[in-house]
Amino acid sequence: MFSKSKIRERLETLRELPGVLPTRAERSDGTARLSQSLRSEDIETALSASREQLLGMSIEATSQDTAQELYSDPLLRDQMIGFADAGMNFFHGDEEYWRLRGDERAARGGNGAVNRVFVQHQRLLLETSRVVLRMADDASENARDDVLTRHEVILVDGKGLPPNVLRGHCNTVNVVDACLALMEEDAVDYAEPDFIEHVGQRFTPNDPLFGQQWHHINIQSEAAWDLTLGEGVNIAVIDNGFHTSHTDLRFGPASGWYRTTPDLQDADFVLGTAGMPSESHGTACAGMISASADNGVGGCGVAPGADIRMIACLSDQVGTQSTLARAVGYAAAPSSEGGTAAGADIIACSLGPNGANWEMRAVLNEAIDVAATQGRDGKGCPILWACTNGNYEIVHDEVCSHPEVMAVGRSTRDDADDGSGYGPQLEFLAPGRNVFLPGSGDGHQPVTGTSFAAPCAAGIGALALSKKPDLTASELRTLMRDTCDKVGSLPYIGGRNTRFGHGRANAANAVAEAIRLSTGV
Amino acid sequence: MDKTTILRRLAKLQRVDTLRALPPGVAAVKVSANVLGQSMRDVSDNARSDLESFLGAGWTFNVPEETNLDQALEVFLGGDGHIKLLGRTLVVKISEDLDGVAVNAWLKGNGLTLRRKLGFAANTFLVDTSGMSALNVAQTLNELPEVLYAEPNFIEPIQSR
Repeated sequence: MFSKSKIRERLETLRELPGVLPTRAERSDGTARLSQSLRSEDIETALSASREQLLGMSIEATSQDTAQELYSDPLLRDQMIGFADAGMNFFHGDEEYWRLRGDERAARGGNGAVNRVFVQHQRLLLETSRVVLRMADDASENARDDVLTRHEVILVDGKGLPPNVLRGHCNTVNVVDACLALMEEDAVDYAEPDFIEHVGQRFTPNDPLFGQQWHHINIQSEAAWDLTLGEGVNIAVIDNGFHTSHTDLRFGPASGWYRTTPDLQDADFVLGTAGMPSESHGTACAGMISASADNGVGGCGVAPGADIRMIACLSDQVGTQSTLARAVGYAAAPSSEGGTAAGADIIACSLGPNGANWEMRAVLNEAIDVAATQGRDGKGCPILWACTNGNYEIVHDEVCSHPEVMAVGRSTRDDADDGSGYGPQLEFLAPGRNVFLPGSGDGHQPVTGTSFAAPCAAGIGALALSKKPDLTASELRTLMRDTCDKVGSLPYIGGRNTRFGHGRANAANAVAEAIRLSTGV
Repeated sequence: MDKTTILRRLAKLQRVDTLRALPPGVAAVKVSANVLGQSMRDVSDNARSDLESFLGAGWTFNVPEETNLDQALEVFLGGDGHIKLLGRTLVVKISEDLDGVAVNAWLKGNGLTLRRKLGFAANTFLVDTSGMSALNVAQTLNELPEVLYAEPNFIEPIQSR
């Protein structure tokens, strides 16, 4: 149950859209055309359809300007489509009309049920006279009746609601204030306006093993997927090999691998997947990011719409850092190996020793510098790297301590830290214990490691980047930090702590923030 | 990464005099666990884990007197406690003031053979040291003003996490 303080905070931060009201719900050719044009992002046609629809409603208001400010933001537009499908359109009424009571508006052809329109976190909330409140378990019937009488709440049908939860008609035009007043009563656990809102269908993939991928619940993938699947973003995964025939993976055309030279001190780059080393580890990493959605196979990646580029190197887990450096360089700029593809938008790597220490060679340091600052046409390529699985301070791992690298630790199903690397260099955690991912034999297995947390976070980064592609690497890093869930029992000081970094990454929050930055709403 | 840091690291390297590393497929005789155990007796867990990775990848280790030195690589312990094998290649970054012709002349003048240009950064090369110790060459090159950095191209375990 939400606390009173949390609900109070929500109600106090609602932003009213003055003058904006919905029409009465009445499906017509106009609302159908409005919905269709909004779906195709044809704003001009949408405006024309809206104006025609408003004229057809015969609302007796001096002014009936289409609320076109609700069309530009993709999140709000989605909701407008939902309302249009339900036969509702939104307009600016004149002040006299706007101040009328609901029944008076209804008498003038308007919507008599909605008092006001609010927006909060890019959600449209339509205030009516209805309120939902929960009485305290120890509140007597007399106390309940006393509260309802004093606050002018008349109970209406509350069938199906949990015990002590009531639904009422509030005899005031300001139901938000009424709820705040109700929550001053000891006998009331909470009171909230029973807002009308658009609740769209959530994208849930049909992949048969999706239900075993608990990490999607923790990071709120489905809420994020309602807005983006990561389309238009290219992620490079650097690992020691991939099952190229795995039916749940798609290999981007710029995938390639480093074939070690006979003296083992060098490697030749091979474009394409022919001959690429086959390893379950890389397969799981890639699957965490972009295992296909809705293909009836296995599970689903965090950013199933993103393009992915697999880069295999150091297949036997022994090699040179110059080869790893080349893989980073190729990911950010394929021209470094003679390629013609564009550089990746995000790099994820899960290679490195699991002890405390890892000394970085100058050449790898430089490759990371170059990718992180010059990649993406100067916007910088965000680099997410799995930190050590051991319970060690990350500061001794010079790669994960590189200032341009986001070191990702692993979290559990219960959002606890799982004993991986810690310290000021830890960026955040992401699910990485018993996560269910593509693996050997074209199958799917539960696997554990920071190796899978880093690509999970990279997928979240891709979802955010797809909604605001002009983010710099640094801006994406800030966004991902700021949108983490502050999980765990340790206090967060200055937004972080040593065991969780900035918290556990959250896809829905990251996407919402990217959209907010993109649209200003 | 500045040259001082690199030189300090190179100075901290400890040669494991009792062992040489042989690439997969080269060794005729595999060293016994006993020899390895004695040679690596006082090393860190990191080094032990590295050794397992090398062995898993088909590398073998032997005592120097029983090793074909032409194909053997010297074994070092780095300041990070990890095993590094020293081959005959190094990575060198030279001042961008030198154009392609000047770079070729410079490499030749320093007894280095170009293996490949590392395309992700300017004037950065993987070179062969033509039989000279990559460690000694790197130390010498780092003293030159036109060298931005030079480091042996160590072979080391880089596991998956």
